[in-house]
Amino acid sequence: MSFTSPLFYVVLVPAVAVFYWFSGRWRAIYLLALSYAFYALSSRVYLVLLIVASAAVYALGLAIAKSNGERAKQAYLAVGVAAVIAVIVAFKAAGAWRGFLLPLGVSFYSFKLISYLIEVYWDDEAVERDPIVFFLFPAFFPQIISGPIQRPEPFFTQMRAIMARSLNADQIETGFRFILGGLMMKTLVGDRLGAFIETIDQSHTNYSYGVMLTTVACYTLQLYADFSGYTNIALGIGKLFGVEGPPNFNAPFLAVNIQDMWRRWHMSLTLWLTDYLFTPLSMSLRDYGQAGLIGAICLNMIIIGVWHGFTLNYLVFGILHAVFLSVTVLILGELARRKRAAGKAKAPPTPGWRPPGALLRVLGAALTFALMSFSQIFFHSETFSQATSILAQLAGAAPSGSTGWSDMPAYFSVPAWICMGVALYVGAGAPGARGLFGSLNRTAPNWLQYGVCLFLLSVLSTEGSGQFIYGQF
Amino acid sequence: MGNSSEPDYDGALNGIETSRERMAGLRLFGVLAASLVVALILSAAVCLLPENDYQKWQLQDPDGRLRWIYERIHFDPTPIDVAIVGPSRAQLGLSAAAIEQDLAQRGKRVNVANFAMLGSGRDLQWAILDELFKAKSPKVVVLEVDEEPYPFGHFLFKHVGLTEAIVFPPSPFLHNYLYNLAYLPIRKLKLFGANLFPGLFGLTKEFDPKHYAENRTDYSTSFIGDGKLVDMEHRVSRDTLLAEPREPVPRTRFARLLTRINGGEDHLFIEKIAREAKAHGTQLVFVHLPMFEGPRTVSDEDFLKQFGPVLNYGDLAPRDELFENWSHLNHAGAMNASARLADAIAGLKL
Repeated sequence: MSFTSPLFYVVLVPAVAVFYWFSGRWRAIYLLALSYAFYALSSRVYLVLLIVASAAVYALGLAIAKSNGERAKQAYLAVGVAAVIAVIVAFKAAGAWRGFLLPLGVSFYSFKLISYLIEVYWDDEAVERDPIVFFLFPAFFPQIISGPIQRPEPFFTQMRAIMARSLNADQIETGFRFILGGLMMKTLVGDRLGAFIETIDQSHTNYSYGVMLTTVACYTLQLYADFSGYTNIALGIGKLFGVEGPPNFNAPFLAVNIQDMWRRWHMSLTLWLTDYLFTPLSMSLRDYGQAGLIGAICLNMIIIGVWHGFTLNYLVFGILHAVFLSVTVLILGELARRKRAAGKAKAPPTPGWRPPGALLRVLGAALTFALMSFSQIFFHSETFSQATSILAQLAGAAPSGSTGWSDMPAYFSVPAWICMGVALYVGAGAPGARGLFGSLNRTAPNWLQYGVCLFLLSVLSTEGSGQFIYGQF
Repeated sequence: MGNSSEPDYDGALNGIETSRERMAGLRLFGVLAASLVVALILSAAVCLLPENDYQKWQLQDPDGRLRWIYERIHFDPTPIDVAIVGPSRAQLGLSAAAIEQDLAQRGKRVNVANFAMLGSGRDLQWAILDELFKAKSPKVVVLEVDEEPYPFGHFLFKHVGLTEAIVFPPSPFLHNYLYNLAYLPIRKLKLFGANLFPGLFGLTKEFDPKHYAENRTDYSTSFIGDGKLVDMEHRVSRDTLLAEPREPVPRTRFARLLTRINGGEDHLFIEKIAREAKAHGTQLVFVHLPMFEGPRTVSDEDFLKQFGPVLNYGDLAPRDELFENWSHLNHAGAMNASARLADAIAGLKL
């Protein structure tokens, strides 16, 4: 059942009401049953895999916490992490080479389980002994499709709090608002951009250079609208059950370089990898200086790439970002070094015109967006040859078609431009929106705003909305 | 002793807390309920917007057939004496031109229009006939019937059905009722916009005779469908026909339950068609075109017979030389079925 299906919400509303009708520990039991039921709708066989994986990690967590010797702890950790990674690798490999359908959310709940084992290894106190609360952690249905990847400790703390307290009306209303916003972003913007891209993809060589360039930019905008929309829906549903999840996006189109972009894009994954892979790796490679740092960056980014799937396209996507990020880190390091040197020498400022900071930021954001969109050619394309064909067209090595924007019917091009504008505006932090909503809140009550949003959703959604891009990972 | 007379501050505080939470919960419920009401009121208000019928019949029309049907009925002055409606089996399996020619040879000059189109669902066929009765006076309406009545509505009905017909159908227990109803505000809003800015929505308000003349009206000869050539003359081997994957009509529990309650969407709309036909003095004829090696009987023949004769061409089912694929007749099959239908029509009082 998709988060964009009206039927899902018809079921969700009474499910939330029943949740608050229960009290204490029954709430967690009910939420676990609900999460497993949701998963079973996708696959009963893979539900068994989820339960077995959860049980194994639960047992290993207890064993790590109980062990006194460092070697025993390391052995349990290694077994647990290796087993979970083996599951991901096996399914990703089977998916890439045999066309096997991935179990729902396997990448996301595996990351949660790994983080739990590492946290317990670092600190025995992080162990969760309550099996219901623990089993709920990987299975929590609002986050299982595509995250966000929540850390164990905040989740366990919140679950214990929910069992103790009663309904929080403000949190539920905020959750409802998140769901509305997410649905609008996903179905009104992301899906429309998706329909536009799909049409161009069918015969991209027929379209002019300008159209293709805009379409490549659309890859990034659509992914943002789709994934940030999903994230808001997931966060909103979590709030309905009293769980605050971590954010995934922070105005990514304001990023002034690729390093900044990764701090704002799919943040829960980036932070996970930074904490559990990049930081330990760069610490162990620090003796090698900048080469060690670059090595850690490359490995991290390539893992991000192939985590999406074992295909050449995702590998190239990872390598491209490894290169972009390494170059960025080197340039920023050099600039910082020069600044420090200049500060020590107290040299007078160089005479002549210098670009203002705002202009530099705009140029940086534009370049970052261009690099991101360039890498999206590989991320978006179904095959490597499709990606190279688009690249050849953009590089002028293959001819472009004659169909330009002016040749397209208005009902096709105008919605695409509007959606591009909205995605860019929201992805740039929706400048001015706070003031606008502030004045709107003073004039229109919440129920009226929500009602209008529900109406817009019902009349402007495209048919066939539903699939989330990140649902396949 | 002294403690028992002290006020219970904890209990009172808990009580205040509980009532505050209850109030917050009620307020939240009120906000959510009010927002739903606002959305419903706006949707209902949008449903009152006017729509241009010509644009409505172009709204969802990938192969231009609905637009052609509307144009044939309203813009083409040629009368329509015999109208054929049904799914693609009738679209490919009956030739209006062949029937006209056959009847002309018998000295009967009649105009036949084949309005059958892709997809099953009697509600759309009713919508087409309802439109037909507004402008023309057909003497005979031919309805194609399958072995089993189709339990759902047509996927295009929500685009062309009259607003009243969608809001107040012959029975509220229709499989597609909520689906059609939920789409109505979307359609109204689109058509309202299209009425103001036809170019922006790609829905014309002006009849273009040249465009109309270019339409294909007869599908019993080869044609391009979905970018592929459908070769109606090509002889398909028996083995190929048998090996083709067949798509059974989904018989969901919900559909079965609704059929038990309302008698089935197919029958409801056939009754509606029969009432309108009677009011206009039009004769109904039912034709069954079989699937290759499919059932040769019509399960609800007794029901249909109360409204008109049932012409069962189930005997064509085993003849592989007459099929283009497992569910459609080819050119030879269409000529065979059209000749038999012409024969039957010739026997009617026209």
